[in-house]
Amino acid sequence: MLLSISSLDVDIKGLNILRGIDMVVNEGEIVVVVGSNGAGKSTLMRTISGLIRPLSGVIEFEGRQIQGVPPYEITKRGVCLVPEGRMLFHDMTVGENLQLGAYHYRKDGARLQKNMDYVFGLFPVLDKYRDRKSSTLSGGEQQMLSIGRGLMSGPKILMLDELSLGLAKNIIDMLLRIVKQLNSGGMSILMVEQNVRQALRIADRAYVLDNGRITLEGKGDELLGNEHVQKAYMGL
Amino acid sequence: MGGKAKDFLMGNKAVIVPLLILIALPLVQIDIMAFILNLLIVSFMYVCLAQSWNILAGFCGLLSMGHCAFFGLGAYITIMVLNLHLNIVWAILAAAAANMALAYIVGAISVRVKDIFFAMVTLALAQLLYNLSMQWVEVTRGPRGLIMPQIYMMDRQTLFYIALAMTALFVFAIHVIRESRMGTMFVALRENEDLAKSLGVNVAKWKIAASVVSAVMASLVGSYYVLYIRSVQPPAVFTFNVTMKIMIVAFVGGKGTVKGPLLGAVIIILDELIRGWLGGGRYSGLPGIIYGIILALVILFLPNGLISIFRGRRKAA
Amino acid sequence: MFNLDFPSVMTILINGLCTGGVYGLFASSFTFQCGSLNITDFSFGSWLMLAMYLTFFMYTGWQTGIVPFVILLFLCYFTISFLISRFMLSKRDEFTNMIITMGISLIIQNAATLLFSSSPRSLGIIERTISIGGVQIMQTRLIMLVLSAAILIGFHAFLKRTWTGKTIRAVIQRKEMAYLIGINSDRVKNVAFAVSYVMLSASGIMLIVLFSVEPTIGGFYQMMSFLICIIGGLGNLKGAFFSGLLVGVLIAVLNMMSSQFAMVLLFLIFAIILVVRPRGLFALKSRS
Repeated sequence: MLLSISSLDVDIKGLNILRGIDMVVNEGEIVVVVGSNGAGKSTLMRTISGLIRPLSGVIEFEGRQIQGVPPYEITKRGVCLVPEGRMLFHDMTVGENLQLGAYHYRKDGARLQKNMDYVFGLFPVLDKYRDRKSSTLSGGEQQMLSIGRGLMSGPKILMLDELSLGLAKNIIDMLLRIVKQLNSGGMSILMVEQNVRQALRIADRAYVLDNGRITLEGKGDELLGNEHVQKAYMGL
Repeated sequence: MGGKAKDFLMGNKAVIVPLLILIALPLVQIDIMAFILNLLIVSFMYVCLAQSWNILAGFCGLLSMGHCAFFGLGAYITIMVLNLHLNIVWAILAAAAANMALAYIVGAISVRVKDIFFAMVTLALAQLLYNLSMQWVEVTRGPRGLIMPQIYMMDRQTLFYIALAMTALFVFAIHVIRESRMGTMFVALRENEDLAKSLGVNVAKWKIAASVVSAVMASLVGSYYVLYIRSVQPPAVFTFNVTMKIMIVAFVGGKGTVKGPLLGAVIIILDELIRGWLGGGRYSGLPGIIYGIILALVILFLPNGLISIFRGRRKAA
Repeated sequence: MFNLDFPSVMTILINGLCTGGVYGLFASSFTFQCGSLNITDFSFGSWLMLAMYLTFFMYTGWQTGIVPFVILLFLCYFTISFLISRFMLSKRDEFTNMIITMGISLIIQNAATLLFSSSPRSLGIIERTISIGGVQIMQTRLIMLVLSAAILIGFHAFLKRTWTGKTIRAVIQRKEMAYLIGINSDRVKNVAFAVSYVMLSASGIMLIVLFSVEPTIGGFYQMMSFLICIIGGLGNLKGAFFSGLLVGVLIAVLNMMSSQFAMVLLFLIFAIILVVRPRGLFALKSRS
């Protein structure tokens, strides 16, 4: 078990957002969390990455508890969140955005260069535009940069929040291929997706989050065939 | 809600005893009574000013950082009219009228200019009046200030009762405003101006109304200040230090509440006491240091003001 | 009265511009706190006043030499402001910060009254002038303008080029995202606040060369920083500097027109600008 969450409760401003969440991400898995808007998916991701302090419950990463640890420490340990809405540093260049991703080992120039080359290998377009302001990129390119910046921190688990939001179909396909490729390289993935069908297709396992609780879990293709999931999230 | 009515009743009952004590206080004949009365009068003035500031900043969310402008203008117009040897009532009315005009402008500006930018405009206006009162020597006698004619002098006891009555009136008025349609509008403007606008609320009208009410209250305190101090100099009424003191009373008590500024008076009393004890002579400055430290500590440990002590207790009960 | 021939008008304008440079410097520092770090610092003027006093005593009494003094002053201001930010300002709301800094301001102002007395002090430096075609330029003022510009260019380069600078910009733009890439955003904010205080102390050193100091002068500079920073567009460093220059010239011109009502007119103009263009003359486009 790389990441395990047990009986996690999260409140925001007195509202119960998450209740009794139990979930696991094993090494080398792709795990997908689906659910409707406001189900608490983003809150779950933000809690794991340390931005939100849970009310109670345990989050373990590589056997060490990380709830209550500040977010910058969690990132150093190898948990990286690529947030919804990409959150790029808009007045900085593509290169600078990537550089900042390597903040916690900034003095190790060789490692920085190696990771930078790796990201440019995955997304050649970023190499081409490395001196452009990130705000001038297209939506798809911005998402690539956001993932690239996340990868620069050298994560063991990559968390992707609404990767496909507002992107064209061919770009989504391409990004999901990259996710799959990263996964075959040994990286564990936890993703939250609106685009349920495509996400479940590449998922090893999946959870359904409904009103702050996990109502269903199973293999990716199992859920893909599940009647309830089809009706609620795929519009069938 | 029944709970709310009961709370209000409890609150009022708690006020009756201190009020009676205050009314009887001047009748006690002891040496330091003059000192105590002065202390209370100064606190009453700041409580009233804080209430006035609270209407704009606490209820409407219009952070006025030039509140001394209303107060100072009230004081200056009052003393100028008194120097024409007219009735006090005319002086007070003239001051209030001048402040209404100023408040109309400020209110109109607040429709266009928001948040910190509004704060800056009020700051600039106050500074403008300060410089005007310093430089327009022909009318204001500049830094020397103006002096009230002897015939309007009142004894301390009367002044104390006027201050007490004014404070009671202000607290009551604010309570009424808060419960009224006007109060609802003010809070609506603070919480979500765009929403209020889309629901057909005339934002400009209510902002100007808030500004006028607040200014007239500050103006009355200004008039009172003249009667009490018997003179006016620019630094005493128009500087940011005055605004800062007003804001401090409101904050230390609890911003946006009716009872908050009453509690905030504690900080003024403390300030005056420390100054009376250490002030003047070799140690000028020391009282200010102690005051600053107390202020920082209070706000560090009670960020919601002194009122949170009482709220906390009620919640626990 | 003086005659308003071309050289003497130019003399007034240029010297106003040079004075404005120092205004621009402290206003830039203030706009960085207020606009970028979202800390409304009411003790700003008082710290400026204190730096003026310390420089005054260094020059007239302590004889430490300018370089060690400047380094020491920078270090002290950096450390103290870092601690203030760390223990008193961070993770509190805007209003609480206002009152806390007001408290600090009262402490400094009154400490200055207690220790240095309330009478104004001035270095009384007689400035040498350079004459170019009848235009008299005061040498010290010119140096101040150049120094202010140099410090600001340096600060700009620091933000653009260095790791620390980029980290600060990252935190200013997206505090949460900065956390997510491993930056301790709170600590970086404290450092940024401390850096702005180094700029503040530099302006203090320059101001005492040009003007006199008294304990209450902080209020005036506080007000000027507020207004210049708003006119320059909140958070816009360049805007604040140019507004500073503008205000310097404006004060010179107003003084020329009517020395009695110069300040009244100045604040009237401030109020009008704020009403007509609330976001300032050089508002950042990206802010909505």
